Amino acid sequence: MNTILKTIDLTKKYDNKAVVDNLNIEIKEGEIFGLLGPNGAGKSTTMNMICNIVKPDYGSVEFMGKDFRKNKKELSKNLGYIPQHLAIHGSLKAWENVELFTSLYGIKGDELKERIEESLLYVGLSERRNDYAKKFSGGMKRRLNIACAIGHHPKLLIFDEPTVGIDPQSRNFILEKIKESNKNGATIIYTSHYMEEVEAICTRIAIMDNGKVIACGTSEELKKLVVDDISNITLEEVFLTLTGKKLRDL
Amino acid sequence: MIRYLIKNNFKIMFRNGLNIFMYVLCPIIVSSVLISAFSSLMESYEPVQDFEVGYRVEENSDFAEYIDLLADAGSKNGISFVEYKTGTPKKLVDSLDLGGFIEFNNDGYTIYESEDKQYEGAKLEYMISAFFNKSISDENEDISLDIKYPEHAASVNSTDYYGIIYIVYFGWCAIVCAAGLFSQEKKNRINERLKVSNISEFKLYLAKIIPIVSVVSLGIGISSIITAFLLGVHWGNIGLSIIIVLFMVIAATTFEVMIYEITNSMIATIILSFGIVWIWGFVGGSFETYMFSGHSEILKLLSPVYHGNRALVELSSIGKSDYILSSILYSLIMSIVCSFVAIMAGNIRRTE
Repeated sequence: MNTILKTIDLTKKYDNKAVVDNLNIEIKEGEIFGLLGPNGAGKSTTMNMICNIVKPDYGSVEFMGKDFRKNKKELSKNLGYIPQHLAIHGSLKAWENVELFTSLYGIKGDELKERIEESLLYVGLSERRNDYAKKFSGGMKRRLNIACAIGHHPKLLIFDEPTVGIDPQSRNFILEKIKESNKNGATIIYTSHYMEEVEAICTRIAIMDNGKVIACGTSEELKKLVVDDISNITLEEVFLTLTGKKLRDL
Repeated sequence: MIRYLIKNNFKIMFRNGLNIFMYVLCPIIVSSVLISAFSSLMESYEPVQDFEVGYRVEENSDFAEYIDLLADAGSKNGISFVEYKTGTPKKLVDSLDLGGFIEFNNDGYTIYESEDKQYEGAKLEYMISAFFNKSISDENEDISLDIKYPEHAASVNSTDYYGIIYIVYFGWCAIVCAAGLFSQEKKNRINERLKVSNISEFKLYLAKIIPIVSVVSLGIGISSIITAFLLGVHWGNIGLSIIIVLFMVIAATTFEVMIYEITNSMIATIILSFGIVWIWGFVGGSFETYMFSGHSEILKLLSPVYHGNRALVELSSIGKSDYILSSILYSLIMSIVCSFVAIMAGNIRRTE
């Protein structure tokens, strides 16, 4: 498989403290890559640097074989970012939100209309297309948040904790859709605090702590780092063993 | 495509009920109250109607040869000259309700005025002075006078003054229109999403400015139409007035968006914008009429609100103004400078 995204010595410091420290990860085309870590591990900062929201102090991101920052104009259309927060306008209708964010990638006219319908159908909101986003439930807002990022058919989708604060049905729906997107050819980067989710959908997982990747591999490979018999250990136990049980956000 | 961003930003602002209140209802309410409160104060600015002036020419006076020309120029400007060979001028003015009386002697003339008709008297003085200045310079040839707009007889009343001034003032509070959008963008971190799409800072800026200018202009436009019909506010040259107001709304928007881009705080932006606009309005005739205000000319000229107010009020009252060009230029330069600073500030913040 070809490498779709690579971080090379990616570093970001805040107040002279490295939040992301010489990070080197490589993501292959067609993967669902899980990024785990306790609060403050540097996951979101890494995501933000990959998406060009935050400028790294050092290092670079190679996307589709090119330096992302230097080729941002050309490469941005291949990236879809679903942030943890609900980056949608409450006073716009569902279809208007999708129109706004999809049009940013140069899609217009009839093609734009088709993409709006397709995105809303994909997340199960086509019947609510004319409702204002502020009237939606938490789960519906999460789904709309996803619809706003997929209309331009990106090759790489970055999901930053997309299932926070929603009911099991909505969570299951979102996870199914992530797997479906992957089957349709999209590469996925997925971060979450829900270990069972990550284990269920990710083909490879990296565990971050203190700005560094401390372990990376398949679920089984990670478990083998801790015990020989992996049948009785969960990913969460592996995670706690590797990162420790001490509270991080005191 | 920036047009979809503009369209949706416009919808967000247009759907905000506060904007309808701020730009349609507020100017109507505030101007109605002030028109009513200051109507008597500004009655002195009622336009001078046609009136009659008496005159008498002493035998062998040098002025005799000008009388026909003077009467002709007067009639074209709403002043009828009637000769009274007998009677005391002062008594004639009072008893016949004349706008004034002129007694031409051999080496000069005397104008008698009524205390009740000061503005007719002022107009007569102006007319006579203008006539003889013109007659001297034209060496007794065809003397045509245009005294339609004598400075002392500005015909603005409280309806026109406050009806216009508060459209301008609320236009200068343009940032309120975008407060909802900017707060939502900040709260929901929508700018991050916009940034991922690689939309340029300039396009992002235009996608904010164009809808704000459109919604504010639409709001105060509706307000102007309503006040024109309901309160009888009279705008002089409508085309020019629209251009002046539009340029001012663009200047206000760029100025206040610049403050937002620098401070990155809506509360700070509102406080700073309103504070500065209040000062500009204070010296520029928004609270006390600029005709009566005692502020220094330099302070007035520094206020863009003053240029706009004066241009629009003079267009309404006397049909012309020396402040049209300065108002448009001031707004234009402000818009360019503020846009540049805003784009730079936004760029610096978003690439940190």
